Amino acid sequence: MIAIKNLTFGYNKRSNVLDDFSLEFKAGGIYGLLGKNGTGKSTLLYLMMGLLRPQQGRVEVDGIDTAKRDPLTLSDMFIVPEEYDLPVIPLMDYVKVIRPFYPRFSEDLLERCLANFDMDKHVNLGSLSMGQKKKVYMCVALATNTRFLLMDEPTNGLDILSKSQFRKAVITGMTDDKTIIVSTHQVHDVEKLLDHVVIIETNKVLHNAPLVEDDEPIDLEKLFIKVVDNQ
Amino acid sequence: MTSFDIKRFRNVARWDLTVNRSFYIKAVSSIFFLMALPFVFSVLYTFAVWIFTDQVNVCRHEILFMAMLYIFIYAWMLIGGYTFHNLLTRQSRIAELTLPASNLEKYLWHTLLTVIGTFIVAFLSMTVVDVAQYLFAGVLKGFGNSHSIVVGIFSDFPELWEFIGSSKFPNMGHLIAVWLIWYIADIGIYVLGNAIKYKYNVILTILFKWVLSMAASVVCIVVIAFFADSIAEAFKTRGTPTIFNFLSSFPWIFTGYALGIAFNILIWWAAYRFYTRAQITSNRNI
Repeated sequence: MIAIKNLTFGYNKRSNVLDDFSLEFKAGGIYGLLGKNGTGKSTLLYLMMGLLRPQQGRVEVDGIDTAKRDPLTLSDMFIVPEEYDLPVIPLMDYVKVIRPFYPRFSEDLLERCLANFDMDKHVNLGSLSMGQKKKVYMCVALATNTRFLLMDEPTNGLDILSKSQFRKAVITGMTDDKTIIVSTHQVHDVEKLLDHVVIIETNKVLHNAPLVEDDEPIDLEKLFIKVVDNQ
Repeated sequence: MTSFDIKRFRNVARWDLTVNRSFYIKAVSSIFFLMALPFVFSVLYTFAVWIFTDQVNVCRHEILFMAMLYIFIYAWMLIGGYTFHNLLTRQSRIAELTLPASNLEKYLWHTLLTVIGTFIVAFLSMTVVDVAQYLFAGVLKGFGNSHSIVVGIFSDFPELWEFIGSSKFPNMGHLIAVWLIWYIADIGIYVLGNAIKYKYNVILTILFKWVLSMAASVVCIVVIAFFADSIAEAFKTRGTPTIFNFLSSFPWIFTGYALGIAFNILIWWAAYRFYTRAQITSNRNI
């Protein structure tokens, strides 16, 4: 479980992105993290990974403060940031050096995920386009088999076909004990994937509920507009 | 939480050397290029003399060695400013900071690579340059007149030890040890600068050290001026001090060791503290 407790964080002293913010992500399921621009979705993901130091409060993963960057906690978490750079080396060389850090790493899952994207594991990361790099990185992230996987705008930069392949890849890598948190603005790209939706604002959670109500799927865009307009 | 695990440490090393392969290739090439510079200039000098005077004048191997040594002493220090090159960009910071290893393992790997790795690469570069200069001098002046720097260093070791232990220069060994301790601290200052700031840190550290040394010089002058009379009196009774009879007296040596070790602990600990507090947001850490 990820527990965010009374978190306050700001990039400068004048204003806080998150103010006394609390939230819990129970283990298992795919969460959609939504909010208006500047409400701190990406910041929250970075705080969960221990990549930022909160001014107040803490984020705990199974009771351990993530700000400490404990190796065991980190080996059970992975983040796919919105922008990233991959080293100019063959994919399998990259896999060889990150695999020892993730005890549940699955090469089989990596291959299945790459197959979903019509890609081969024998590629050089330096020769890939931005979109292809994103696909490969997402596959590596799923293959690490960490219990917590955080994704920031995962469908940005992907074409229509790739977005559908992305959904398939995530389902392929999903197991009951995994928690995937997807922060996005592209609600239509992920709504079929989500089990749960969380809509946030600076100091509060506006909505936190499963995405299915009375066995009927909810239109995520309508829900988002309704929740945000009610504020 | 285990803060140090040798297996994880090895994995950090493998990961770093693999994902930053191109950076390390550039770093090794740069060190080699710097070490080869004196030899390149000596070759140019030889040809220039040959063209204009028709004489073959090959640069002495001792001069080449001294030039390489000076370059190495400065380069080793400045390379400290690239210890945390993984923190330069936002993306590389994410990769470095989320890597499942402890801060201590990552910090130790980076600092050991800077201190020991640079030394090894520089020594190997010097060996390659040495072979080149040996062949060059041999071809032009005959192999009987050609000398190897590396062979010279190892064969001169007994003489060097004798010199260090000689009564002519009391406590020479201690003086060298104190210098080495302060030199390691100097590398540490650049490492600390890199742990605080990830961009332009080398230039800023040079500027900071320059300001600091100016301030220290002013303080020294003030202190000497304050005690001018008693120092002059001491000169009269004990003779004018030289670096050996002044610095080699036990209290000075002891102070040099004590302050040097304390300063090293402070600098390297501070660098570690800053490293553990690194965040992804900006290219500075303060």
